[in-house]
Amino acid sequence: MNPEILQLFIILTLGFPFLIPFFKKWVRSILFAYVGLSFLFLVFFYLNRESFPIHFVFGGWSQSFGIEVVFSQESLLFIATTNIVFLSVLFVSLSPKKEWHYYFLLNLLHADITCLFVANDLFNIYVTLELLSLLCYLLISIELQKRQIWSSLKYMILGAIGFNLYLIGTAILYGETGTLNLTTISSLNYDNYFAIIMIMIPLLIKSEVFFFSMWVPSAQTESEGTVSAILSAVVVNAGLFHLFRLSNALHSQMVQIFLLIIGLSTILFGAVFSLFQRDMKMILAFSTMSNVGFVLILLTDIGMAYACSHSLYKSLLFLTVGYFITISGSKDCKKPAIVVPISLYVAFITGFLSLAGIPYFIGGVFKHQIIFNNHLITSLLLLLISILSIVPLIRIFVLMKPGHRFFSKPFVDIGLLILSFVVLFFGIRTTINYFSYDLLMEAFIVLGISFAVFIIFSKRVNLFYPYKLFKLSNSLAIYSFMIGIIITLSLLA
Amino acid sequence: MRELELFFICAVFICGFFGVYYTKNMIKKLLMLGVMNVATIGIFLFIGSTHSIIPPILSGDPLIISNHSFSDPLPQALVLTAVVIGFATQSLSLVFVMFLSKNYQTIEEDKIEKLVEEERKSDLES
Repeated sequence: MNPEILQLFIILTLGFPFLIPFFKKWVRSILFAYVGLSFLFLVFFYLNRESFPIHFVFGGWSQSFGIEVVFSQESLLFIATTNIVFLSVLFVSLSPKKEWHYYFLLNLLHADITCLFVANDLFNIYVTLELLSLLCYLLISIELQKRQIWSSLKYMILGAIGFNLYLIGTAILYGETGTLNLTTISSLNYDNYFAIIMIMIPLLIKSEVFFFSMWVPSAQTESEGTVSAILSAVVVNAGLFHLFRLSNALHSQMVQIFLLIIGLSTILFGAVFSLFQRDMKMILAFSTMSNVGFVLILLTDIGMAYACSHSLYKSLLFLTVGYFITISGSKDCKKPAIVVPISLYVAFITGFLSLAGIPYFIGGVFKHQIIFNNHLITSLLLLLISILSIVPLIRIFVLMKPGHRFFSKPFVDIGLLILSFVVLFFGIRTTINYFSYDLLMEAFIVLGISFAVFIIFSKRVNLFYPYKLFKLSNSLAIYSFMIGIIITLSLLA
Repeated sequence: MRELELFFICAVFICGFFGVYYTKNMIKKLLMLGVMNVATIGIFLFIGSTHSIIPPILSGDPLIISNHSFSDPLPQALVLTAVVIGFATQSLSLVFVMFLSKNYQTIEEDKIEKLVEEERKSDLES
């Protein structure tokens, strides 16, 4: 395959969003054309997958100095996932109609994240990540509400510190190796852990890892439904994808151990905090943290497949919960149950069963593999935590009663059905390859225990949000404490 | 001398970091973020000038080019992008602080945090 096709793909992807300010009236048509074109390119790349990874250096420079893009199997998987989420978000955000600024930012975010998934040098990754962050800050505060702006500002301050550390790491790495290209670095057996960890910190912030991402609860809760879905599904993947690439490029045992420890603590804290939340979106935000931990403890192809599965079903859950909040007018889990359209009910159940790890729903098989890839005690502990992470979702589930009407808001329903279909289709495809009766039994036992725990404890637990822990000053304290520990350990190693 | 330069850059970075942590005034916090950013740029310039401090500008002296006795231009090119991005982030954050000060009548972090939490609670319970 001619690698120049990749250049065309990048140029078109980056150029398309800038049509929107000139053709504001056709903004939605432009966006659908953009997604269609992106899917066409992905089909083309998929048909030529025997030539993966495709390398291309802009301007004919050498690999060490030029801007190199690499389109690999993982890039295809992540861009396809992003496209599906983006298409559903687009449908959902058609009613009520939004201002063109929103669609412009959304399109720019998609273009940026596509470039991020093919970037192959550390500085290009920095530029795309920073642009992604700026777009996230703007999207979180798009409705110009006071709390949205405060959440965005918190995210911005934590993010800015992280990116400074990233630049320091990059500078040290460049000073020692003379290159920023990931392919070249992977051939050098680079082992300055201080620089590596510095580079990883903003990726951990983006991936919504506990300790580093104390901005998550407020930003996810205050932003509107579609933006939360994007933050939780697309932006998280940006961090995870490059953590995966970095840990592969560096072949370092210490990095693996570091990610394992961070992953385990994220699973635990995410699940425990989600148990005590009263706000529905807060439950989903902590659940995202917990699931990111599962990816981090097995940062291989299985982990990446689980990251994509998670982004599909979590965006479905965020979109359904956002829709539910619009219908009920409240985010409170203590409110009585209400009648909801069948489409919403079906979509929520699809997302919920995927999160519970039921076979034939996306993510079930991968979650099982991640849990049982460890020592027996660790596996049992992970199983126990996964039960804890399901329980709070049941609290949302019991608030919904299926109604008679199917299409209440046609565009929203189409968006939800697209995602539900994808979740089921790929769930069935993956389960066929890995199915076993043990897997089925284990999934249903976990689900059964979760319901039992919910019935026994739901009325005895005091729901609260530890806002003091997530205050900006305390977030900074936790963040600096963690950075201090990591730096000390990396210098000792 | 090089060690002293590095020490100075690190000191500026640490000052910026502690400034962000200890200051409750949001404007000062953002200024301290700027200080951190300057130190980061300093590290790039430090790395770039490992071999020489002569600017990488083509002059009539072929000896400088043939001996490679000029500072590395790549970190400087890279840091230019970082400066622009830092400027964009700083501007946006200042706009946010301006908006918050208009709505909450304060730029103190603790007060804003308290007001936000009270608002969130009453919103959830209503």
